[in-house]
Amino acid sequence: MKNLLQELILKNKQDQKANTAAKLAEINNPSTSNDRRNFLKKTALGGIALTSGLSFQNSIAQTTSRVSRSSAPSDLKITDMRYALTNVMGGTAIIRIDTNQGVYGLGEVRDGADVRYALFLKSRILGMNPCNVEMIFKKIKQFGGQSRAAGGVCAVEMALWDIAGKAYDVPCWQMLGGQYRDKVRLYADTPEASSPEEQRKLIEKRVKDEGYTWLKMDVSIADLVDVPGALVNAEFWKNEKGRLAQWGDRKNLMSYGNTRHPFTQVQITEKGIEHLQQIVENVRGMVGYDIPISTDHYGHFDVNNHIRLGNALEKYRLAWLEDMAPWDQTEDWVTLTNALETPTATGEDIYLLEHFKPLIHAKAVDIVHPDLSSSGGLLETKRIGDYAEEFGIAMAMHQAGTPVSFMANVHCAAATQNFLSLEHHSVDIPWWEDLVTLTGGGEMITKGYANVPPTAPGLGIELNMDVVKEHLDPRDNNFFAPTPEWDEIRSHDRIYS
Amino acid sequence: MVIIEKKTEVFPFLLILKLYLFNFKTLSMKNVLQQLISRSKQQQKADSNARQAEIDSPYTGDNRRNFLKKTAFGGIALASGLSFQDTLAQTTSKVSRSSAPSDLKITDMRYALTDVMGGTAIIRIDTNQGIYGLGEVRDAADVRYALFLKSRILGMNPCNVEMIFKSIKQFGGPARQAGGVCAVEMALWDICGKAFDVPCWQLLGGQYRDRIRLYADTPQADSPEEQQRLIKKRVEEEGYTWLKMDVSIHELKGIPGTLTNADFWKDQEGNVRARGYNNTRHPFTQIQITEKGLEHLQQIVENVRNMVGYEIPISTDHYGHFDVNNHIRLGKALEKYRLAWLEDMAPWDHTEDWITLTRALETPTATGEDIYLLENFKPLIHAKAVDIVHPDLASSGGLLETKRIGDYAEEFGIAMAMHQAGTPVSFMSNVHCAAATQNFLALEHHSVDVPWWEDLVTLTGGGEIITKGYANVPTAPGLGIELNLDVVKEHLKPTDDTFFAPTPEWDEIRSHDRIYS
Repeated sequence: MKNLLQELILKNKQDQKANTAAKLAEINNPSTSNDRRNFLKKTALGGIALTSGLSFQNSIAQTTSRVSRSSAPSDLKITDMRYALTNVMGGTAIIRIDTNQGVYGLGEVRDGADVRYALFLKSRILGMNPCNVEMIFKKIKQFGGQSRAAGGVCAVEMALWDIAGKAYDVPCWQMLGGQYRDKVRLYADTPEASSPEEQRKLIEKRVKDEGYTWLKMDVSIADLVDVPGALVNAEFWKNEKGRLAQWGDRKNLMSYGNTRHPFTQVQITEKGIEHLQQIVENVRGMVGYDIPISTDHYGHFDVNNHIRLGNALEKYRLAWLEDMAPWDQTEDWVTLTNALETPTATGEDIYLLEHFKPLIHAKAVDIVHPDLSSSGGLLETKRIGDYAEEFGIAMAMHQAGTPVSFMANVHCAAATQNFLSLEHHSVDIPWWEDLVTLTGGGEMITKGYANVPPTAPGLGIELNMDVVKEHLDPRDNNFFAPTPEWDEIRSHDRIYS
Repeated sequence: MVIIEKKTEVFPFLLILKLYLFNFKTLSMKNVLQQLISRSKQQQKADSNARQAEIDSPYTGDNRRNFLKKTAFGGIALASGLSFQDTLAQTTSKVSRSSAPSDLKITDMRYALTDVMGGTAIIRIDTNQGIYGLGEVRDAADVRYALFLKSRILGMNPCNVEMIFKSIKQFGGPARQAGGVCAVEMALWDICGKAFDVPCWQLLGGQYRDRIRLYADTPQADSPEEQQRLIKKRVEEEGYTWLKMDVSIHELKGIPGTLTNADFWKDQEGNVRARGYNNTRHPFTQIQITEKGLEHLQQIVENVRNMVGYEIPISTDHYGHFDVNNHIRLGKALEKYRLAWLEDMAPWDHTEDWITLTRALETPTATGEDIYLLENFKPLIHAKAVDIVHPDLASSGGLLETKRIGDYAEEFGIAMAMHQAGTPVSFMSNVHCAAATQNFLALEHHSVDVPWWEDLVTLTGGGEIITKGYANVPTAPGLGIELNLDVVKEHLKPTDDTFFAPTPEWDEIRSHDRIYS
């Protein structure tokens, strides 16, 4: 991999040179304060030669020194937060938290979440020591909400772990307690196809070429809208295109997508159930029984009909039935899980362990399924896994973001025992992996497994700026520009008196 | 004890009649009225011109053009040279334009940040029919809590208050974080009331009372004599019938032997506020009050009781951050003064601590000013962990949610007092809610000594906001207020002189919002 490594070294050398020059300029600038000057000197002494003409080995040392500047962590202070909005999943922001020692951290605001959920936190964390991850998390967690509203808090938490890891020269999984595994199993969507032949070809590619060992597929009543006699009361909910649109309708609060499952009175007929059964049977027929297949997105209809569907799918031994009721309807989950003998799972929209507890205490699901970008970040998600473990509940991990949150998940999954598999939602996006470079080298994903970075500090990634720039969301071409409008706290924050 | 008055049974047409009579009655206030009329006329003219321009513009869609025409026909003459009576009708039409509410659409949200309580924002929600609503982001809350909601409500019918509230309530949180949702809710009721020509209390189910009892802080003074004078003014001149005072361990500053472990938390000036004291929850400070300390605090209350006598209820607050054991000891030492309530003796989310406090003490206990939504009051109510719930309407969820909190508490035999430290916008929202909720006790007025506070608004129905310690419940539509723009302008927070400027950066929804999959 010599080429790659040499490229890396060269790039880092250039970066380093620029950093050093900037640092020197700041040290020499008369308007630089003494404190700041001390920080700069400490980081300069932290292992990075200011001279040029390094040997090859020194160059390697320098390459890694960029991310393992284990210098004066107790003097670290957060100085900035900036972002770039990628067009992964139609808008997923990557944030960068900067410090007074040149060490920075990367985080990600969950797919489809407003980056202002993170920016709002900037004023709360400026000047704090980023290594006090738990204290900062406790301070800002009140500003998170369920699902996307948790995106800011989780983005900051990821970035803090990244900084802490770099500052102490330790990978994040080590800071979470160590490794249970050095490869993290992934689950991937079954590709959609227009014909069974086409689908067979695509699934073969997924399993044999790409090597995925766990698949997920939709089994949705949306596919039944054109099948006469398959559904009851579906006409009432169809949109102007004649579809049952579970996604995308943000403003019409009375639409099908924004109506909770028990309130649609949509039912599936025997005929409809047979059709859905056939969809699963086709895929099972193609991949065989050894590979676990998870399912999702049945539609918004009640627990009775979900149980009927679940019963019809029992013989295919699915890995799990996901989100068959809104997660906050604990009693419905108890009913579902007691009625069905296929594992049940929910959790991608749940923020904080405290909101997983009702489900866990009641053993209302067989599998918790947090999205680390909504559940509270690396440490909180490990806590969720550990807590579920005590009750004999497994943890799968939902993930549909950029490689930043993907790698945050990889570190967490490596350090949590009851982990099953992690979602990779962007297998078919050719530039997705290229958004970042692994600072420790190597491939991100090998044959359906993510490689846990063995020694690279922090999250073990840096952004591939050119690739990120090519894939910004067209609505917002900001690229890590200053964000001074978020510097000032404008509210009293204590939640009790 | 609450008296249900007969006159609450007002049918809409009687109400309208009453309004007209009221307007004639207030003719004596000719100056004010003429000012109002002239201001409204100018604004109306500008509105009419803008409307006509938009109707004539080729870019205006047919739907929009229909709306504009409907509002133009809704009672407002485009011509000038109106008779006095017509002018009067026009004045009131501004707030009672009961035209086509089913076609109402939210078109804008703007704000001004007043310096009430060091920064309290008033928002204005505009519609396609010229009707607007006023709301307030709770004192010391970031106005962006409200602005973030703008993209979610643009284009919606403001009269569907509950549906909009349900769609935005996920963006509220405890204490100040609820400020945006509550501000919007207030403004929606204001619009809705104006659109249907009905006061907000009527939309909440009608009146239990036409005057709202207020509680006011006891003024702080340097000497007992000075305090005696100030309290006399509060009670005898200003007429307040319910007082509140702080009984704080901060008063023990400089008195040796009154506290345990306080030095650890003291700053250089000897105030208990260093090392993050303010952000340390009550059970974690290990501060204790000695017998001597209790005696001193007792004396403070005894002094005030001696000045005002026993008839007037006195509420207390702000003891400090120390544990339940010491709060119980303090509460017992104060039993004989028959205080109206002991407030916020533990963080509201420590339900078990509240049970302990309430069982141990025979003075009523109260908490709630930082609680968002009925669902978060329920643990306290179900356990009867407090004697009084004490929501701040600008944090608890707005008018309807706060009424729901009161009603729910009522079923459990729990009373409701109302915390309030804002501008007259949230004050009047509280007044409407208090009028419509039976178990209400008293509403806080935090700005009695701010001379320009009442002048921030004008009552559209005329009359005084407050008379002798009671707020008057208006009969005018909506919240019954409009801003006194000059006075508001004089009292903007210096750090943000925005004055209802456009806020286009908040127009676009940039997030998927559904909280389940």
